[in-house]
Amino acid sequence: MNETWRSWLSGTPWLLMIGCFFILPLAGLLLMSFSGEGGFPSLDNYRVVLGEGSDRPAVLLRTIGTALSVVLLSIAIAVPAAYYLAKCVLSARVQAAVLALVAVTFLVGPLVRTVAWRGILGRSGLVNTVLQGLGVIDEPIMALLYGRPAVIVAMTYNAFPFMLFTVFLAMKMIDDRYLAAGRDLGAGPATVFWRIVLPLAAPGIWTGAILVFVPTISTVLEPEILGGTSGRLAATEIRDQFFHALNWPMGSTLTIVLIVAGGVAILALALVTAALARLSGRIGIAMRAGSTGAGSAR
Amino acid sequence: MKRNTHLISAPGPWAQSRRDFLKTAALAGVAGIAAGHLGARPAFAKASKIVWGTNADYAQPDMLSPFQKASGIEVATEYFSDPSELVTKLRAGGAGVHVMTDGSYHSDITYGEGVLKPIDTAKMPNWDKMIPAFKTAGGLAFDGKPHGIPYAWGTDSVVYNFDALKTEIDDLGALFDPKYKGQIAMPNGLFESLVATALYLGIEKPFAMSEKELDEVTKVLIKQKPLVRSYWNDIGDLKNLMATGEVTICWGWKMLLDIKQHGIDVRWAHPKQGELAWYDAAFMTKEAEGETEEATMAFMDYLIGDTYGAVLGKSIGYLTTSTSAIAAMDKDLVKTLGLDDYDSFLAKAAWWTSPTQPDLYQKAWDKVLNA
Amino acid sequence: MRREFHWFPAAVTGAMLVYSLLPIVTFTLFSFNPSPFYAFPLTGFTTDWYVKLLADGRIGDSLVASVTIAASVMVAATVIGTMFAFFVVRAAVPFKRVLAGLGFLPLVVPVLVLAAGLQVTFVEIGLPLGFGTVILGHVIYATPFVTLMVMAPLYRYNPALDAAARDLGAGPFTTLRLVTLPILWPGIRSGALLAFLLSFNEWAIAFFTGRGVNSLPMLVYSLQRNGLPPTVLAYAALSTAVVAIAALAVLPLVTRLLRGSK
Repeated sequence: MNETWRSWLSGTPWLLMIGCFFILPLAGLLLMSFSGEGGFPSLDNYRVVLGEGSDRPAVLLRTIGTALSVVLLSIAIAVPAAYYLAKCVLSARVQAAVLALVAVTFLVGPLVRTVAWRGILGRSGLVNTVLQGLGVIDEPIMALLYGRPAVIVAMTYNAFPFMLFTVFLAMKMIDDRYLAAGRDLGAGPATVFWRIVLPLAAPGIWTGAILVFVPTISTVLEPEILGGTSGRLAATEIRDQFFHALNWPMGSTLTIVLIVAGGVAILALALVTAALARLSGRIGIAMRAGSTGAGSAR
Repeated sequence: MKRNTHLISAPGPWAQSRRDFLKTAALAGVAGIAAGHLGARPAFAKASKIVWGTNADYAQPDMLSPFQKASGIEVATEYFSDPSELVTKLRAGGAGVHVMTDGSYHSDITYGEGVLKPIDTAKMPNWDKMIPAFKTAGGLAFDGKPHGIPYAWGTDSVVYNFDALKTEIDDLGALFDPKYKGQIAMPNGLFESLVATALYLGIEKPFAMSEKELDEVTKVLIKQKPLVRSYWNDIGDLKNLMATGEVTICWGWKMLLDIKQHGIDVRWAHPKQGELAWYDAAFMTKEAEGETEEATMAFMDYLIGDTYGAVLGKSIGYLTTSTSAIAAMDKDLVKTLGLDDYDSFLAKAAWWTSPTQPDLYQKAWDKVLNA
Repeated sequence: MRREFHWFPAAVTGAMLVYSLLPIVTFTLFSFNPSPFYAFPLTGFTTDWYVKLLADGRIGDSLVASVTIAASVMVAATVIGTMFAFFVVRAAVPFKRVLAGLGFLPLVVPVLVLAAGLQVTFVEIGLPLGFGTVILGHVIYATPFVTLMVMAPLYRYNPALDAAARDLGAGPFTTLRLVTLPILWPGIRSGALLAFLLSFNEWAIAFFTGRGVNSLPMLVYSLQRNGLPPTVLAYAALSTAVVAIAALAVLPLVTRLLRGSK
């Protein structure tokens, strides 16, 4: 089979699909964002959103900041756990069981998952009840719920499995012989992790970061259910414009702005990830070695 | 169910440009097929089944089964939590919904979207048994023709946990009292916080505030923010907030009093500044045609009948608009619901309407939320 | 090889499991609690919510609808998404970066907006709204996730293996079936699972592009507006238990697969 022909064949179904059902509406969104009070085309909406005195840039920054903290938290949880499962646990059964337990959380709808945090963090929630029962605190800690911390805890909960699965897969594919070689050359476990495992797992972390970041900037559930008065995030605002104010042009403008800001943040994330990977090991060499090595290891 | 989140605003000047852009998009992209199908509506013919766009609480199986058994008409449901969701759908066409629930706070906007059709009340035996005040309530008739059948109603006011506060509340000012810092819940939806604050400030027309009045309300609400534990999104949310002790005082809905049966002494305040009244009505959509239209009318009549009226009060604590349903209802239930003296209440109620300048209301509430 | 105990990653893994299970344990406790409010201490023990759940036919119907949709989406999104992963990683065509970037765009649009856009598009081109449009919408939503899951192993896949297979006389399809796909299998499997779960839990697209489709998330969303009744928690607990038992049954299989992919 001809190589070019095969290339196109693999891409066509999806490109055709999104061409018809996605790019077109998106183009419509883009056009609509330019229809303001003064007719079409106009920059009215963008002026309102980004102009002086607008609180939207602050909302946008808050949204991206929140999503980035969720990404970092997910990395902090998933990378050590994935490393432990993929490289420190001998039994495949244990690995499968742990991953399955985490995957089970996905089966519960996002709504139930999110509301459950009220029962955990609330005034008479699990945490406060247990702490009071143990005599650690006298008065319930009210700051646990209805604020940014609760939102981040729930968002991370809803998103970190993406990170865990991709990083686990990436680490699983690292040839154990690299680790052994590193140790034989006198590297301690920490060095092996930072200089060998992490750089080789970087593509997995990167994929995970996107999978965590993107749904997080466009979710409306957690801030509304757990956020109290801590302020709206961008997606909620977009929803309100589309479905409650029925102001589609303004909703479109906010969406375009969020897409652009999200894109910029992803780009920044990519640069930071690359820099970190470079810091922790010689990524270029290791990657090349990894990409041929992992394949032949099978 | 009723109004859950924000109020819909009237379509702005962009409505026309939206249509223009859609045409452009269609011409530009979706080849020739698009143009031919613009505005095409799939036809519905079978009268053995109708679809009701409503909230799940109005359509619990035991609430609908008497009608389905008696008439042989199957009532399918299309759930939504906010009528604006359904309006968005109906406006795009092909929603497949024949009758929808909408409220006094925004039925005129739904009508403005051109998705409703008039009804012939003469064909509804239960119409004459309705509390007269509802027959003439606003937001039901358009262009002189009746469109909506109000079937559920209630009021909104300050609700508080007497055990926690140990005092009677008869002043809206309690919601703004630093004494209750961290124990207050205010509504997120429908600009209800703006309206409640307007009542508190004694603004004469809470639904027709001037920009200056809205500014004043916004300032008070931003100042109140540190006192507020949470803005509640729906009545279930609020019930949990009150029942679990997260908050002790709120602006809330009648359904909140349900939690009394769990031993929580919640009380309904009759603040000197006033209360707000609302109703939910059933409206026929343009997708109800021919035999389906008749089936839809029969169903709407059922909603204002004795059976539904009683089960409405019993299952979800809402009030029926039917005098005969009240007469036929269990006397204790009538008393619990407060239906025994509806006349005196109706005489002084302030009814929800949609705000005259929804854009300004939206901006004001945005400002509070983003502050 | 030598395995050693690492206390720090072990501790994080333990903490992660607690974190993962805490909400599940909590709502399961509440689903047996007589009080409909989500607070401790619990007021007793009851199975009433389960009885009520099983008596309410709506949840059963919705479950059937959701599983049907999610299974169809899983098949379509896995095939299309895997193919697109090959395109992104392997294809040598002009403007590939641009085309690949376009392919991932659905990821950055808030789902609600995607849903509304899809509905308008479907109606404009005259597709009757129903199960088919929900599935189509969910495929658009889930496919990029599948592609991302498959891309990771594909990047590490050594093309020399294909050449080797060819040298040994295997045709392109034999190579794909016997060499390429088995190696990518963990990624494809995770992608398929993800597609199923994304569709299974998705509300907005189902609401906007479906007609007469009351999927489970739609029912739950609507019920939640009056306080996410404990019947929904009972449902969540029940379905989690069923899936957990099913997972235990297939655990040996997964274990074998994991061993195979090492």
